[in-house]
Amino acid sequence: MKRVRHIFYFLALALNYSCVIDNYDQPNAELYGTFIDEGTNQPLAQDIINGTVIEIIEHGWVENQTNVTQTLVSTGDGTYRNSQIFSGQYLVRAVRGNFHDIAPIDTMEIKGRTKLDFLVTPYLRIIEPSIERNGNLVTATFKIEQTSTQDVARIGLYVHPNPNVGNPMTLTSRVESTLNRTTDTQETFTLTIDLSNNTNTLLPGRPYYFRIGALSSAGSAKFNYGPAVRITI
Amino acid sequence: MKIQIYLSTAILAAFTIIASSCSDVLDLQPQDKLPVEAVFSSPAGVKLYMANLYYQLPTEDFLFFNAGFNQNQGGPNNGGQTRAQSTDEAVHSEAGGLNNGPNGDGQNMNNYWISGYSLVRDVNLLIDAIPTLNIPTEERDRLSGEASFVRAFAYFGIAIRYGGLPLIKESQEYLGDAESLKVQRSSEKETYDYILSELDVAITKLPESWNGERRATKWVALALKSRVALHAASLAKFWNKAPLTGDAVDLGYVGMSANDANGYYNQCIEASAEIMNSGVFSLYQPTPATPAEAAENYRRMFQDPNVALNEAIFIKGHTIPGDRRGHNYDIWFTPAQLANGWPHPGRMNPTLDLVDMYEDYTVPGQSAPIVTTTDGDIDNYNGFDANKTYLRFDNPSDPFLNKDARLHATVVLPGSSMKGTEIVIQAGYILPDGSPRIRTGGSVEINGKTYYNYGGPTPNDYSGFDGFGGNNTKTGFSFRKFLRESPVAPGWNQSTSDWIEFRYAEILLNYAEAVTESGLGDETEAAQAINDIRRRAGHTVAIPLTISNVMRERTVELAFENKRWWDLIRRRERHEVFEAQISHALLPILDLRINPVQYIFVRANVHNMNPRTFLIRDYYLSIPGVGASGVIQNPTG
Repeated sequence: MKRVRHIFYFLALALNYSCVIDNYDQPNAELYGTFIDEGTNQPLAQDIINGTVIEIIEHGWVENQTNVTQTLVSTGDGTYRNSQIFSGQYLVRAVRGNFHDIAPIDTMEIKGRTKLDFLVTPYLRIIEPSIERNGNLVTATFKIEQTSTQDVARIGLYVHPNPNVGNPMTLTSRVESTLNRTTDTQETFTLTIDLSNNTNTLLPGRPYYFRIGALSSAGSAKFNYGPAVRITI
Repeated sequence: MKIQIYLSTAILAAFTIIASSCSDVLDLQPQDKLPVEAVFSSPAGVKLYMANLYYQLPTEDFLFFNAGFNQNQGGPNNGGQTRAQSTDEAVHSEAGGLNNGPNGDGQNMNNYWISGYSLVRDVNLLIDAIPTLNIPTEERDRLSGEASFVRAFAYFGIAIRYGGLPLIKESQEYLGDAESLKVQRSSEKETYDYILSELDVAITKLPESWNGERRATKWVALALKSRVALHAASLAKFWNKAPLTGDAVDLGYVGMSANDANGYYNQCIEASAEIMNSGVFSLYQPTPATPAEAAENYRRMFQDPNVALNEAIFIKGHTIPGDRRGHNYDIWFTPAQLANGWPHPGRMNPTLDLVDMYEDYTVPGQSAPIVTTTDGDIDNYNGFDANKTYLRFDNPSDPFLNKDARLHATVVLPGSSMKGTEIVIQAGYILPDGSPRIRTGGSVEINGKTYYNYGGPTPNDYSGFDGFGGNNTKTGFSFRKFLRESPVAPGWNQSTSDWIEFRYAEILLNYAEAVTESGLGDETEAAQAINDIRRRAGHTVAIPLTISNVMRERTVELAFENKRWWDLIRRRERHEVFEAQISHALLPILDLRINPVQYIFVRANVHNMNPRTFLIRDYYLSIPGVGASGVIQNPTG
């Protein structure tokens, strides 16, 4: 037994000798905040699957900084939070959203809990939205406010058991209308889902969220949405 | 005690010696590998090396599964998940909707960065060695033609996944300075131009034939050029349908200009025309007397391409069963009834959407959706509705009687025959009181006769809709194309049918598409091309050259040849088709309300399928290892 112990002593000695503590500190900073519509002062809803991306690049990491872009994704209600960030100086930019491009923040310090709200102008606003059920028909009426002269590509009415309902998350075949033109705030749009045509996926007695969406034709624009409305069918 | 001390001392001494000495005892030459000089010093060694390069080509063939290329080692248990199941051609019997989009990293079918550049390095080493080889000039030329072909094929496999690439045109040597090895990406256009120029080199240097050896000929290089040019042209024409932003776009590493489309279409037309005018190739059995004969010809060509050497331009062979040799299409995809003891058959379930697309001989020139009700509503996928009047059929195969021969040769339809067995695909029955029993299992006895919910008493007696083992189709259709007539050998890597990587019909379709999209080339010849293919499939009425006719023809003719995915990608249609997309099934149901009983059919969503959405950013995959390589990443997030 002693023999074996000796062997272990030597081994332990040999192993210990070569060990140097080389662990880095774990990420200890957090970045969080909300995308806010500067017109309405409300959080800007968006898709959860294909939502806005925040890119952060730590300064002084390597020469060619585009190589270490970290991306943070946002939630459906327009908020975001990432608590696994290393403290440091960062370039921060929100890209490919459902709002007009905003300038990147060239340098900001992320340390501890850092709050950063983005004030943005959505491509489109759904105004006076109404989603009502009459018998087998769920009808959405709304108007669209454009914040630029770019065409409205299409509009849609979406339904899903999850409140993050939207164009990539819907249970009916497309209830959409392709516009590819400009609109004015006087024009009323109507979209209808016939529940009797969807008895296979929309089950009676269950609650579903319905939501109006509109897509601008601006390059890489994402959908803008009205509020999700819960209806038990 | 003494012995222990001796031992301890000895160990301590050994430690000290090992730790301090610099012996070369470990610097052995590996016994199972040849040094590169030895390989290239003999023509036989070069041929061996060449075989390895061909093996690495990114051919999306019988070995291409969700885990990537060449999946035939050991028990490659990848679930039988193929590219077709990530498109609208088919669904997998177990998965709720495959959407193999985003991962450009890790072990999967999209990641071709690392293995692609491994092939580039291997071929660059060969190119370095070619001038030093002791062989006749003619042979040297052919060898460098082959090398250019392999290099173009490798870069094409990478470029279609990642966009503009770092172009490593000669082998790199590490001399202690990693920085000097870094190469930044070229623009997407430069990348395709480089691939096409490599193919031009290959076309001039390669022979027209290798006397029976399956190696790249001039024609194979032209066929690849036709495919590459069409891909580049489509990207140029349609890139703006799905625009992206980000550093890689600003720097031009991804992105094509519509102004360049016609140049690429023209290259596709010229390469295709050279093959078409050569007289070397033609369609296999171009004028069948009946649709049944057409179906049998088409089926035989894929079961054994060697009967159709006039159509097959490039074949990847599987001669011997076993690890790294055979493939697994027969065990994964044969209908459950013909599993022959294999526990996991029936994974490929062609969709109703694909079946609908095939023409009906009575209505040429358009898709022919299967009509199941008297009101003719084909957009209702809600399942059985007692208030609807369904069309009734004596046989479950009746709705498909006049459909395109290629449907019968590609898909196992309900009630059709395979290997002498009638394939039973039944989703349930309607009881005499009108209540539906769909996907329930069990049986019912009526007037002394027993009717089974799935059409048979045990799982060996049917191939559809039972969830048992994931072995049954859930779309109402099973798979036939490529599969052998002989019984399934119930083990891994036992199939030896050959794969056609390039065939004449694809060239004709490339030509027709390029002419239609660009207005260049000869429209009469292009119309002739698609109608020749249709004639071979038993059609006798010619249809006009329109883009929808060409694309429908392409989809049905090349179904399951792993072209559909790239067609959707290059034409930027994938994000449009895959927006919360659900595939559809056709449920054959026995109607017990009448006597004698008859079949009705119900169009329905595929059971338990998740909606699939393809994101625009996934047109370009994330490049692995950019932190070390300094390569600019594709748009993320």
